[in-house]
Amino acid sequence: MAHHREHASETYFLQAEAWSAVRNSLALIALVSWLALAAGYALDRQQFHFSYLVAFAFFASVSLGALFFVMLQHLTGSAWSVTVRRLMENMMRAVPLAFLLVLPVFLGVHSLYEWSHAEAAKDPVLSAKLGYLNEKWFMLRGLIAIALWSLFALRLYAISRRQDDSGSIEHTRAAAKWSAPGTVVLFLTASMAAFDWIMSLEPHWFSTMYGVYFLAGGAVGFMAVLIAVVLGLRSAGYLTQSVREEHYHDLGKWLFALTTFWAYVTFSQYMLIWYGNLPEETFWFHKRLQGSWAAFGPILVIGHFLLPFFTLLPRANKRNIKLLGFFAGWMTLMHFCDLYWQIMPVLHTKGVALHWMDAAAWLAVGSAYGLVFWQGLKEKPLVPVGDPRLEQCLAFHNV
Amino acid sequence: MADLAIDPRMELNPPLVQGGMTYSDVTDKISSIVEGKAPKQWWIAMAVAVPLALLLFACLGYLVTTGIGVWGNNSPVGWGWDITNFVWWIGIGHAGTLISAILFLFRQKWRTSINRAAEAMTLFAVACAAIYPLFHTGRPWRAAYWLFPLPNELLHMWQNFRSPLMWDVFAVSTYGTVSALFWYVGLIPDLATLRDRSTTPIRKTIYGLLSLGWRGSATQWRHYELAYLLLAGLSTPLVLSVHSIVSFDFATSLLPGWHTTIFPPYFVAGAVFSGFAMVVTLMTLARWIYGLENLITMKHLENMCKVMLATGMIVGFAYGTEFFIAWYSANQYERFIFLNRAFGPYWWAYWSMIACNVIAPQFFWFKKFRTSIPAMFILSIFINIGMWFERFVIIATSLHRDFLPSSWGYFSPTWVDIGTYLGTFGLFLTLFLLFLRFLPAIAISEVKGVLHQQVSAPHGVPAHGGSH
Amino acid sequence: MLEAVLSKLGLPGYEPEAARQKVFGVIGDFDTPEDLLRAIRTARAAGYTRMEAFSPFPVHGVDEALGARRSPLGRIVIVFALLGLAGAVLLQWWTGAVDYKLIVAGKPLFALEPSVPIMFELAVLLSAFAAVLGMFHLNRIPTYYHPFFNYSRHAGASNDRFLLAIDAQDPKFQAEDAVRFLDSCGSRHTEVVEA
Repeated sequence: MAHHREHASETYFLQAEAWSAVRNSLALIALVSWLALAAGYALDRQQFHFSYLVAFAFFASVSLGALFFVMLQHLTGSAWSVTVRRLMENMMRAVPLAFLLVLPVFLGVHSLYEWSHAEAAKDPVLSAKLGYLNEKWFMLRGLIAIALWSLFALRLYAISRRQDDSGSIEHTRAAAKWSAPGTVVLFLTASMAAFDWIMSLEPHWFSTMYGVYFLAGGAVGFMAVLIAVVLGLRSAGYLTQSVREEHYHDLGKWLFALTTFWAYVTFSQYMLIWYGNLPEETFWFHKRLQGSWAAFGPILVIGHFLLPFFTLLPRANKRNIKLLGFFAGWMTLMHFCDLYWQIMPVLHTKGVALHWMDAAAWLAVGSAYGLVFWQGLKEKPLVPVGDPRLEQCLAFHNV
Repeated sequence: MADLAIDPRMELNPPLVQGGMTYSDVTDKISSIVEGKAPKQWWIAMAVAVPLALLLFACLGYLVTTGIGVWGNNSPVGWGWDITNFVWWIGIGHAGTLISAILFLFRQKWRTSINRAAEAMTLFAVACAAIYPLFHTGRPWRAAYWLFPLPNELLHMWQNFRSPLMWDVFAVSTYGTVSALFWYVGLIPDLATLRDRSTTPIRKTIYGLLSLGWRGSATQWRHYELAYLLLAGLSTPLVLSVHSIVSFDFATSLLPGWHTTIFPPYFVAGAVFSGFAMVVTLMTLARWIYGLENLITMKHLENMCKVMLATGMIVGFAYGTEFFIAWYSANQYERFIFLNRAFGPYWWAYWSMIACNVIAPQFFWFKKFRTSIPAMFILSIFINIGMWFERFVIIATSLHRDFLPSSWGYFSPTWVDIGTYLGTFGLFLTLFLLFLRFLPAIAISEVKGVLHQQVSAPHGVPAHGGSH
Repeated sequence: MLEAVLSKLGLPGYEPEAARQKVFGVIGDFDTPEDLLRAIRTARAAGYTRMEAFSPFPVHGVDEALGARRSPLGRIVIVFALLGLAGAVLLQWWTGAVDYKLIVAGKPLFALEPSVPIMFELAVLLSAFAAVLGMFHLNRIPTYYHPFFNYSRHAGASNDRFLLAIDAQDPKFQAEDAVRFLDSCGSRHTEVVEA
């Protein structure tokens, strides 16, 4: 079966030296930041665990966003996204790394989670939930969730890679078949992970929306990182033919739509708790608006919603590569701020206290995910060359 | 063009218009429904619908002349079938907007054969829904002063805009208005087609007036297409907002089972779920009455089944989350209300809901059920029933046993409740049948656009669009 | 006298004598969208600048071929969206916190949180009206008389035909030349259409 190895003058393979250069810098960042974190662990264990949890939640949510999006493309039979799908798949491929990277969270259960303390048994509310919130179950649930995500991520990656050589439609079908149950499993387990890893930091508090909130944030973070990667490769001279204005216009639409969805979820959760005005719920927000934490209100409302919403609303701005590039970086930062604001006030109750480990942990976890992502581009095509919809994608045009 | 069946792209994008239809075949087929005589089935359906609609008016007349007490609403269940039916009908309408707006934005071309009828459904469903709050005021002729901020000398007061019920007034009336605009804008080019085909002066005048002098010039299409895109872009967040605001009616309260943050997206998913079920119920019927197999193909129906499966899973996910968080909250009232839902006096409603909404759609995992007309017809009716039970369960179970056991009670509908509910079906069906009779039930110009892509790119590699 | 004044206003039916007798243009009739596009491109190459195409569905590529700009409707709509937003804030603030102060359920007289739903709804409502009425205005509808309808096969444009009109206002316009030109492009039926 005929399929395109190359499109026109464009190469789908990274140049070996360029690849090594990026790999080496990622490795260097990893080395330095992990060493720094090791030192930080010795100096201030509690700060280490909180900084680490923010970073871990960030990259786990982004890679889950990738997994979700790959499955969504298969389920809807998308053509527009084929040329960027391999990049998503490489991000998704880093999901199993969580097996390793979740260990510092497990190690820090006592520093992070109040329910793991002995006093919890005396608390009338907490004692009623210890059947769920206990170390053994917490770790087991985490491992099961990661195992399931890894199963779907590796499976879908393998199917797509195999299609590179075969070009067979059977692989497209198989991917769709895996994606349907995969989406169900992802929703259930990711929302459970959100309850466990983040919501249970405040074990008295509960919100049924929390899983959706976590996923919505992860999807925004994922889309921002994806756009950053795509535009980065383009500026290095790759994918210039296959990811044209029409494609990054669509990526811009997605960033816009997901940002709006995040705002919808966040507003609904906040407004319902504001309106109900029950102390057992409002304390969560109250604590997060204490002292200098109050600054995060406007930062998130404006930075995570109003600014990107109104800037990306006009069509021309979504097709403006510089603006889109800026918002890719900006929304990455905002997703970090969102998680930081959810997690850190548990440790620093009085106000914001930035710590060098916040950055070190982000770089450490990020470079680990980055290395796995980058490994997937070594001598392998940047786009799924065997996809039957590739041609359609290359010809694609926005209305 | 080699054997189409083995071309992989052909398999990925099966043609949406089948039977080798040409542009004028499309015009003829769809216009003939409006121009020809009504088939016997249409009259049979009208004979069922009109008496039911009359029953509605009779029940409403009895209600207005007697009082709200003719409904089964009581204390503590102050909201009974009225709001259940209101939420149910509004939800039915959501599929229309989803198909016309969201699928449009996602460039899902398969929407074109079904969007017009689905939009009509939205309008009629909103009309049916609006009846309940309007008549629950007891004096609907005065309701305008209570519901809208009209300056008046009579009351010297304003509405409480901090109340979610006021948000609902704005949401539902905006939704109805925007849906009507969207629907009408979509109709203009097709009305021009009917105008140009008219043979009698009456038809020519009516369709001529309604089509506003549409010429189909490139300039007109350019503004028209952008207007359509903008309306789609506006309707998408609008449809999310409507059912979210409906959910706020409950979720802003402090009642266990109502006050829960997942309500907005969960209500929206449920609305889409029930709406698609209604579209499938009606489309399988319309397809059969008018022989529209080449336009409403198996692919359309199968896709709708997939949407029902997806939204059904979301609804099931929300049931589970609610149940789990009720336990996790360690709040005794929360824990009680959910156990009471499943095992209290309304257990039958709860388990009907689970069977219809969670179990029934699971059949759609299998292609055999997604491509069988009788199966999808029956399952879609189950889903319609299940979604009615969902609203009833939420409303009745949370109200009938709240914090104070001495004020516990039970709700039973009266014959007026039942008659009014059946009556709205009559109104809905009558309006829908009149729509089928006098307006093009399928978007003629849009189907031609899809056909053009099919003709000019038979390999399923259209120059524009593609799916999303 | 009255006639002379009215003719200056350019109202329909009272156009100046000269305008009334002018031709609207020449219209040709094509089988497929591709034929239409080809004809437009040939006409542009031949030096025609003022043309209009008519089709039963929007044909992509026609706008570019005709050299048309994007519709300004989006800008109109955003203005009305902001008006709706501002109007909703004013309405809720003035009625609740100024004209009729009544504390209900311990809520503040005015706060942003419970105002957002109505702000959103009014923004959408006004935007939708702006989109539809703006489109009507830009398209000059309703207009029940248009010279286009004098073309004997105008009904094809709402069925399965693709029409191209060369405007009489085109500087290069010569009725006989235009007819010959459209025929040479493959028009099935070309007519000079009265204004």
